[in-house]
Amino acid sequence: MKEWYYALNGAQNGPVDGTEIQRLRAAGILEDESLVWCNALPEWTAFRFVPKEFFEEPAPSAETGLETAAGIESALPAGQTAVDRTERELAFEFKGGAGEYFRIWIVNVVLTLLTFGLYAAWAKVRTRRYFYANTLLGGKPFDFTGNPVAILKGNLIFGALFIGYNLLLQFYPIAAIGAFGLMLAVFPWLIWKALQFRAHNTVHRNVRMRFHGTLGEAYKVYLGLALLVPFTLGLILPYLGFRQKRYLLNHMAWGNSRAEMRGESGFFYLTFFKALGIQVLVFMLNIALWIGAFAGLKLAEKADGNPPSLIFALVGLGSYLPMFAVALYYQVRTGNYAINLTQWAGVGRIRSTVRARDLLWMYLSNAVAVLLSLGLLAPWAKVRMARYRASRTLLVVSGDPDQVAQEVAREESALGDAGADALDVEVGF
Amino acid sequence: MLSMSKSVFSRMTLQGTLYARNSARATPATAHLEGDTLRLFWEDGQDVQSMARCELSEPMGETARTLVLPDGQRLEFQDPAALRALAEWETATGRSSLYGRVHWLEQRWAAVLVAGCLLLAALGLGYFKGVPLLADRVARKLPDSVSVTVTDQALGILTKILRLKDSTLPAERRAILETQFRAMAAEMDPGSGRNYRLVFRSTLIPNAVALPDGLVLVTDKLVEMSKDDREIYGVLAHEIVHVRERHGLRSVLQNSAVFFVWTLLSGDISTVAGAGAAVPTALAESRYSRRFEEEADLGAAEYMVRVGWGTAPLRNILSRIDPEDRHLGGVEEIFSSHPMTEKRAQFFDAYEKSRSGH
Repeated sequence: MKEWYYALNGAQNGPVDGTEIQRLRAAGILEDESLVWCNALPEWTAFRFVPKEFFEEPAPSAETGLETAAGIESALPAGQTAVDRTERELAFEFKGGAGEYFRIWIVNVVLTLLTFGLYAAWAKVRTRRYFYANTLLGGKPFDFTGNPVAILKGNLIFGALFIGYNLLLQFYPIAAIGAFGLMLAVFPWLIWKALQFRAHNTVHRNVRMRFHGTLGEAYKVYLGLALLVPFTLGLILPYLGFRQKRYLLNHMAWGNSRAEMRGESGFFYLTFFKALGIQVLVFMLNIALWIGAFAGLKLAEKADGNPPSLIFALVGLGSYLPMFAVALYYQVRTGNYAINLTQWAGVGRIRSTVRARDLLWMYLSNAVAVLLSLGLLAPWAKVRMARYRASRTLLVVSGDPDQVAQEVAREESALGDAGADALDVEVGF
Repeated sequence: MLSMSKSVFSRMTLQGTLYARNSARATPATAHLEGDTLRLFWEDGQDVQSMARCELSEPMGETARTLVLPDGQRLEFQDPAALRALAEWETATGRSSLYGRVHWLEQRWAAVLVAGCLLLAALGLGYFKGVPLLADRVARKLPDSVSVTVTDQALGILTKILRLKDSTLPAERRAILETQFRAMAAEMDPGSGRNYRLVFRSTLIPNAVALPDGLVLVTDKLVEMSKDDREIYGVLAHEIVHVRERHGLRSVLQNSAVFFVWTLLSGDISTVAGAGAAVPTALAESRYSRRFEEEADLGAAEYMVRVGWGTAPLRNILSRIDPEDRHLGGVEEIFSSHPMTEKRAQFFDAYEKSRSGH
């Protein structure tokens, strides 16, 4: 049986059982923010962050595991395994604040402009550190250890490519097409470099992440397969998405815990055709809508000659929004699928329950807020998004988190230093 | 008083979480900081280190900070009291860094406000004065070969997208217009040595385009639409001003500057505001473009009044090119590359009246 303790009016109470804790919450004596603790939790935790299953009494076999975590394995009969493999959920949490980040953001913007862009690399490191260090997993922060110089290098390369390309476009448009092809050819290399850089500089509990995908596969999934899209009439798109996701996830490691994505491309196809079906329906509705709008326009012209541009704005929005929504649906569904089916050896798996409709609402309301505030609410929007994503992500750990983490860390000294010749570019993953 | 508080504050006790080298096991630890010396205590051990050899992450709001010890141990401080103590220790021992100073700014709303106002002022000044001035300077410095290359390329692109074909106007008619054009150019832009020339092409729309090295392209449709050659000369005067004032190159340079600054500014905005993030650049660039059009209109009006034709031909051809009575103001105008037709006509009218009044 789990023994629960709870904090009330500054004092520690308990032990009580899980049913009693739930009764106290239902009675309003405990609140969502009230701190509770049982030996399966790494530390005192707000009620709302404790997964429901924790309050239920575990099956007898699992109970042994929990007792083990409490440190009484000596009481176990000889021959019985002492390894705790009970599944627990560790919450992700984002605790950054909009006001705090606003000040970091605006200082970043001012310094970046004053230095004609040079400070952008330092600003990016600071922003990333803010978002990493304020993202907690089981109460422990992540950290970003990237060197601004690596980002400066990436920025300079990108800036030079961009300026060169635009100059060509102004003066020799034909040559610019060749240059564009050249840029496409370096693109997978840039992604590969950036993935290594980001993983290597992500630290959680003194253990670094690592990306060990090969450059060859990067070229295959970001260039080779992508070039086939026109020849397959786009039918390869879901497979391409699947391979890119698998490339990202399958080659990640935290310490010596390698991730393995077990998903199939079938799910990508299923979701793709569902999304496509909705898209076709929306498209037909749109045609009807446009015909209606034109008819309405003709009538209005006859009536008073005022072009009702509002109708066109609404119809335009009506065609753009569903397209955006369907694309988002596909992205979120396949994204969740890929993450949820990735097993981190010896650790467990991440469970993402991000919902497309929530994201759609957040993107829209963020866009309106940012535009109406002339950009001033951009930091707020970013914090809001981070908070939402964290609130819908969990780590399902098999075993005591501290124990698991300890095992994972063992081979860390064997890691090569991918940060040495690093450069980072902003590419959307 | 100050030195006393220094000696008091330079000795700190902080609670943190310790990770041993190559270990992810979190152990609660207590750190004592005194001057450069770090004494570390945890459940089954202790350690002494020199802070000079440790790597302390930079302060940032209420965010956790980490101390990486030379032997790979890692200390994390999340507790607000520990963060405060670290900051005090840094002040007391006089440690400072780039990010430390940035943090000083970030902590103060007043400083942030001042920085924000400075930023707005700098942006405003840059947009209204700095960028146009700089673009003008750079455009003057660029060698003529740049203008020639841009013109060649632009003519190629225009030919493709507007489906330009050879002119079907009679040769004598073209010769008359071209002679007048050269005379006008010599009068309006004397001594510049530019290779002013008039080129006729046939396409569906009435238009005239000035390219940087002095080539002015006129479509047959425009010539056919005019009821009086003075109308065409008015348009040509407008285009000559574009060439004389290097509007083409200046506009490329100004728009690049707008794009560059916007890229710096919008790193965060574009990710959360989607396609809407392109709106401000479109606004900024269309205002620059309208400025150049207004300048060209003014130059054309000056010329037409000086030679005694008045601005009526300009107004007439405008109303024929754009017969739809476009309304003033509103969203349509602020995104437009040209001032609204009605506004331009009003300007020509007002200009002529003000000149005849003198």
